[in-house]
Amino acid sequence: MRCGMNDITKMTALQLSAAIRQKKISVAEAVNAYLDNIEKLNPELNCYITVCRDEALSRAAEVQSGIDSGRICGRLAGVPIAIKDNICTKGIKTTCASKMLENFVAPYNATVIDRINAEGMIILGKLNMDEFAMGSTGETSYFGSVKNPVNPERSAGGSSSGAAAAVAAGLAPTALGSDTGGSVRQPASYCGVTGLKPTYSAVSRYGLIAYASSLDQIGIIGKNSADCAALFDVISGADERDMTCSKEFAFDYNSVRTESIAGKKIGIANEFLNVGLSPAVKQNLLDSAERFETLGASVDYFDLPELKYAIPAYYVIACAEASSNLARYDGIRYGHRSEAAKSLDEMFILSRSEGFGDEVRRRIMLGSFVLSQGYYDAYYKKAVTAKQLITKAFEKAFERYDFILSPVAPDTAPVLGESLGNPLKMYLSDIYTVTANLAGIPAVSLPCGYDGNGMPVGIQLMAKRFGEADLLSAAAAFGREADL
Amino acid sequence: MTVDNELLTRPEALCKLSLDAEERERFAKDLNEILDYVGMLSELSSDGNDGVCPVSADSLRADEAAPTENPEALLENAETADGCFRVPRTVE
Repeated sequence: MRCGMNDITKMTALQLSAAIRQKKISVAEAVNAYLDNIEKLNPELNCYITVCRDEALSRAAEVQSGIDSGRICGRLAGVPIAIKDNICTKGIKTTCASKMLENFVAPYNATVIDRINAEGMIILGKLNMDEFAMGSTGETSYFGSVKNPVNPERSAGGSSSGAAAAVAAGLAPTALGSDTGGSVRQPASYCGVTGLKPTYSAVSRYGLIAYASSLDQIGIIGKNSADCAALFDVISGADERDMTCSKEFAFDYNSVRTESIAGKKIGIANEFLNVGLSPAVKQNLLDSAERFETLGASVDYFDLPELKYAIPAYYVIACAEASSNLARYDGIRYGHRSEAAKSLDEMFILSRSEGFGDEVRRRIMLGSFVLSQGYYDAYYKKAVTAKQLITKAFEKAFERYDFILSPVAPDTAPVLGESLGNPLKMYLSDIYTVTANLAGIPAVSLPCGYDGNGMPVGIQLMAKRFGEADLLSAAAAFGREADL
Repeated sequence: MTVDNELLTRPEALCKLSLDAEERERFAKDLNEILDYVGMLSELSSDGNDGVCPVSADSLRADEAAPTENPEALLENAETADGCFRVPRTVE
């Protein structure tokens, strides 16, 4: 295990903020502890694309002064945080791990960044990821793969690879990622930490560089669900700059109760067990179900035949939306501009062909194909129909169950270099996570055990839309019980 | 339906991309495998569905102009001349 844990970096985000409030440690000490770990371990793990050393130390001094004067009093004031590199941070490079945006400096902050700044958190740097959030292993990054801290020969998952690895290795106490088809939950599971994908529309997407606008959500990776709840309270809520952000939803942090799982009903879809699970993942799921029963919940099995269409629907819709969202990269206003171009059209074609990696080009070509004349009805319209069916199926399931339990991925973290040769096989491993994005429901991945190689295994808990308080309560109860 | 060299030309043009020969062969193979798999969507009936992906969106904000904070920053990532984006000649 590659891990830079000392007394400070072992603390959860909430423990850290309490220690700062109680003047047991200073903000600068907290920031320096993490910067030291980054210096020691990042050259190997490659979690960070940009480290904001000077900015973080300068901000630490500001926040300390604010805490001392009482002007800054957020629950997470003084806590360092790292940000996935597809979230705009004003004045700091925001690359999406792509040659296309290699030198792009964001001219504005994403809404979530303004909110964490107002809370008094300190940005340590920008995290490595799959290029434009397209990937499940961290290997499509233009800046090289992130290594899994548990075993650096293995993937940290994706696309929020840097976020999960950084939290697991003590290079950040908590991180913001993004989740379109599992990109927060799956790397969290592979690295043995907790990952929350909120309800679609609970968190503003203003400043999140778009991949698939009807599926993207900014999510949280933390050491436990309590940290995720605290950070969710900071970043969630209405934002007039994102028309899809819910005006009504307001997270009630105080209703997250760690004891409230007794009497709850948990469902496991039979189809989740038929998907070629590794024995270790299946056993950990069954053990977790038993743990929930010990806590007083009931566990039941039900049918979800619509699951069959989840991967096809996800990849058709996501790629279709990506082909539209990535059309903005034309070399004119920002991003890579080819020096070989002699005409405007050549500028578009060469800039894009040079700037985008294989997986991005594959997905935008697939996306434009399924939207094109003659194929739109056969693919895109059918995919939207499947999305609606899956959404209704989950709504129906939540009339019977409080939560739905599933694995996060069919297996644990793959060995680096073994996945990219077969894109379809890589896509199929998203089977458990894409459903929550399609249905727009919140989902959390929780560490629950290890496989025979010592690699972490996670489980996923899903709740109905805007059910984050109940979901995080259940997660906290499980976490205490699992004691991992 | 098989994606071949000819069929690949359309998405290439729509996406403003240019693939070399090796990439065309590889991408055609990948797209064929993926499209084969997602073809199971044909089992579903989309009658009465206009294909508009329903997204929960509350009402739009008022269409009122407001100042842009620091408009100069929007030019800093581009090649510019006299406050304009500089591009190759567009008219012969």
